[in-house]
Amino acid sequence: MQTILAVLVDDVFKPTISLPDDAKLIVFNGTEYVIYEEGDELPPEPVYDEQL
Amino acid sequence: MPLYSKQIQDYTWANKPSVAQLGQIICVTDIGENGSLWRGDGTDWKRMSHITYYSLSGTVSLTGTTTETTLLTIPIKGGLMGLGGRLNAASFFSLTNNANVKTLRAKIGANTIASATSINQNVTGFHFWLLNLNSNTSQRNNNATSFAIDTSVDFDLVITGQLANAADTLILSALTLEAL
Repeated sequence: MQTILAVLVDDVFKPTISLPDDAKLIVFNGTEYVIYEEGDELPPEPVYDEQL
Repeated sequence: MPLYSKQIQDYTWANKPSVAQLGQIICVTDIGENGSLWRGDGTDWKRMSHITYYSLSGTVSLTGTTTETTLLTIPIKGGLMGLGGRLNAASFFSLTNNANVKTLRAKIGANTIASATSINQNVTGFHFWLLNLNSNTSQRNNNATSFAIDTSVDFDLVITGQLANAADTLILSALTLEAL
């Protein structure tokens, strides 16, 4: 798992380097991109109201 | 007779011959799912078929902010579209199912070539296309909006998401980009 910082350009968050093409999951959490790659444990999926 | 022979040379997009001899066929190995065939018209290399240019392999999730955020950047090779070519994108999003607005955008530079909003949905599709109007620098999208983007040079297609409520989540689950 790695993180990539985000920068605000023209009112849009953008990664400071290119996001990897082969990531299993990329999560932008409001401040940075968290990159999950093969072998990384994925975070729990969000549970929506209609699923409860 | 096999279609692929020693007479069809492999090149990458970057090192393909600068002179596109009339009738010469080459395979560009780094464009398309497993390469693509291009034929010279005496001036330019022309795609011989539609190609799947890009397929998202993972997923991209957005939460924690109401600021517009880049989810995906797809570099497009200059000249890939061709004079009458079309970029055709189909994507699929999962969303928090509530009344808060979620906004999806596709951008090239300062141009927003497609946008859509979603409320009260847990999934939505986001599909759009951009057509070169017999020119590398004049386009129209599927909403009949005109653009003047120079597609003869490399550019980025950027997919962004924006939440009205930072507690919500927006997930880009699939995206395929074709060059037609």
